[in-house]
Amino acid sequence: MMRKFLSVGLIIVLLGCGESPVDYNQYPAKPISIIVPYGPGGTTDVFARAFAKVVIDYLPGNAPIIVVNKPGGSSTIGITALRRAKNDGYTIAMLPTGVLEVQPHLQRVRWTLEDFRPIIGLLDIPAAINVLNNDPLQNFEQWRDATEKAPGTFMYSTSGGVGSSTHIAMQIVQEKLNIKLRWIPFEGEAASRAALLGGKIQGNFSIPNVHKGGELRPLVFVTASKPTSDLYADTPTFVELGFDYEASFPMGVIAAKGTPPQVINMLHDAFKSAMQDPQIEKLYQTYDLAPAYRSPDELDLLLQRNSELARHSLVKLGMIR
Amino acid sequence: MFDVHTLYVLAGHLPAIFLGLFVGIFFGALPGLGMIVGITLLLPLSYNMDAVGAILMLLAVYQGAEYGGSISAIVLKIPGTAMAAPIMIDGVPMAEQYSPGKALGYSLYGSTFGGLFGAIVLVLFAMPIADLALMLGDAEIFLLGLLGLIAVSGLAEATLVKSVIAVVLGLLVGTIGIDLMTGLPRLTMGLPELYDGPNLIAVVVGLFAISEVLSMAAAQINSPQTIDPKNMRTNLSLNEIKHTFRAMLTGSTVGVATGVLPGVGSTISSWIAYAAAKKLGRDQAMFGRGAPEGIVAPDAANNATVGGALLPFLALGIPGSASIAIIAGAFVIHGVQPGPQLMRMDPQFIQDLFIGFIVTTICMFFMGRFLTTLFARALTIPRSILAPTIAALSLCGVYVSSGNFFDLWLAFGLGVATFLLRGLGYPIANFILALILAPIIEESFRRALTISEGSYEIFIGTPTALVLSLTAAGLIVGLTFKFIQKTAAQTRA
Repeated sequence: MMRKFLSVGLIIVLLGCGESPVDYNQYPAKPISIIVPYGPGGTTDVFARAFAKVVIDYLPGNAPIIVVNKPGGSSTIGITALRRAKNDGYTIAMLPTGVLEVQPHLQRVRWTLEDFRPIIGLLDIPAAINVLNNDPLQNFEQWRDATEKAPGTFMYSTSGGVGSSTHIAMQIVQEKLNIKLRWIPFEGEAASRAALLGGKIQGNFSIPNVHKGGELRPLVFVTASKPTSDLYADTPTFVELGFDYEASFPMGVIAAKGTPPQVINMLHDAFKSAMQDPQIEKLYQTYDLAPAYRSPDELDLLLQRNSELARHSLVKLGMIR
Repeated sequence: MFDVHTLYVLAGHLPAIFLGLFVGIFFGALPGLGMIVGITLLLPLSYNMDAVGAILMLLAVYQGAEYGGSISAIVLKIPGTAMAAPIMIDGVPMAEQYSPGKALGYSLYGSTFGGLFGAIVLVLFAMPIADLALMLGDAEIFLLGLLGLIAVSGLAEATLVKSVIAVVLGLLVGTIGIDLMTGLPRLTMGLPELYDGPNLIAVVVGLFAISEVLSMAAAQINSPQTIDPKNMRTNLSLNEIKHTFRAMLTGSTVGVATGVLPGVGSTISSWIAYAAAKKLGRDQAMFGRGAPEGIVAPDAANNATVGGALLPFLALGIPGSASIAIIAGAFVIHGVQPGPQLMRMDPQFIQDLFIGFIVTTICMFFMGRFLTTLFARALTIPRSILAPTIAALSLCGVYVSSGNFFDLWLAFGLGVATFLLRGLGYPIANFILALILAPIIEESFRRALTISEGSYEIFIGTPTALVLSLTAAGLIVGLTFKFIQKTAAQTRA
């Protein structure tokens, strides 16, 4: 009898071992892949590489974190790769979350927002309605008056293409202001910047750069975040002007659904500590961006809000029913 | 300009420049790998260097890859990059009939001349040219793209019908992907791998490397190569340089001009340069049969593009090509914001960069002379070893560029299709050029009309646009007239 109990007990113990072959006291015991759904050299890639070096110091194991660039498919290919990877915490992704909010509505991908679990929000990418520095329009009110007087003449570009989160944000802005602007799509930031400097279009919706001696002067920030410069202290945000909309373009880290909660917590804590690391603080300064920490639940909530707004706008744009 | 400080700085950067050049030439010459992969490889290293060194190293990769691509075009009949494809038209006949060393020599001298030309334009005229480039709008860019397409369609030796078929196929493949204006996928068959259009590296490897490997296998793969090692020397005599000087100048001018236009893509500069050199050439009958001008012009254009693409970036902060866009990352990470204020506020940095850039080009010449002879020895390798090596290396390159298995199948499928189409006499050059130009032509056309609210007047509204429109119309009328004449002559006979 005793022997039977013992053997059953042993079997249970052994089964238990089979259930969790990964020992998270030593995590990461093998290299963690951090997917970046873009090619190398961009902001996300630079942040991912910098964090990869630092975060490892705040985890118990000592296997490295490797940045894997998976560009293409309007940045859906990298996300699909994360969705397909094992959810054991050894594959995560860092990205601006817009693609998660928009793409599932277009029904071209086999995943939804629910297939992922946010780990942490690292920063909020600022975006303002900009004009050229030498433009006679000095502030938001003047611009609004001008666009009301001549609807559909103010031509602007957004940093993303049709149906991207920046395009959608500007649709909402026009709705809230009850004005009509003309959106001109460009393949990439370079071509649109050239058109703006050449006077072919009048404005854009992206990060202003007069603080770096550039030509883009903001009229109004649609996001709560601004580049860290005193120059923008007096530039109002959309909410400050009394409008009921705040765009938000967070960049964060996500894992596939079903990743063990203790791993999510470990990664979250490590990334959070890394945000205070001098190396990472310097990185934020180089980009003139302020760290914007978000807990997994906070980021999750924000993504769901953005996703709902995106769906609403895509219907209005006639891109989905 | 050459003060002690600058020399001191440069001496410190020479190792980085040589490393960049080596990686650039090597990766540029290997089909499929190319400069983007090379830059990607060195990018992490550059983060830990000082700004000037990091940027010079990455520019050296760019410069080196533009040259390296033509080595394999001449030696293996496989352009390492899409930009090197037109070099084959004359480079291959010259290597086969006369001497591979001579062909490589012309290529190296052309590249060096173009690189220096681009650098000098960059140093002297950065601001005014950048301002000039801004004046060109979508209407003008559309017309330039159209002109490029017409000019190059006339290059092929194939019949007009087959040329047109190849062009139309290229235009069709060029429309694959998510449409910029509507956000709807076109011809993607629901494959996310095609949303951004087919991966150009996979296309080039399929069209040139895989199809060439199949040709090698189809021909006598065990035939021994008979190349006289004496023919490997890459020296050019003063007379030979003099003879091709005009073509080098033409190519360099075209290279800078196309490189300056953001979004037009440096990929087409070598084609336009080839067409221009042919039009201006003394002996047009030699083109396609190993004319030196046909090698130096596209090579000069490719390397002049580097300076050209760098120009709007340094002057205005707008990258002129995809490679400069990646190098832009190195600027940002070192806290350098390109633009007019950089030119004004940090002249020391700009001066170091400019001199370093010129030194890079000169170093490329010597590095090229050393490496080229090594590469040219590939011709003495038996084909039974060469063919599978090329296939394996180029497929590796495709995978490295995107990390997608889909792209391997794409390269393979295109390779088989191209092998068959080549046998039937369809010009591959027309296909790839149309593919590259299709998005530029289509998007700028539709954007011009969006901006003008549907009025076609925008295409003749400015003096530049009017001249370009008239030239295009003239070319089309001329070509049609020639075709009718030819057909009539054939029916009579």
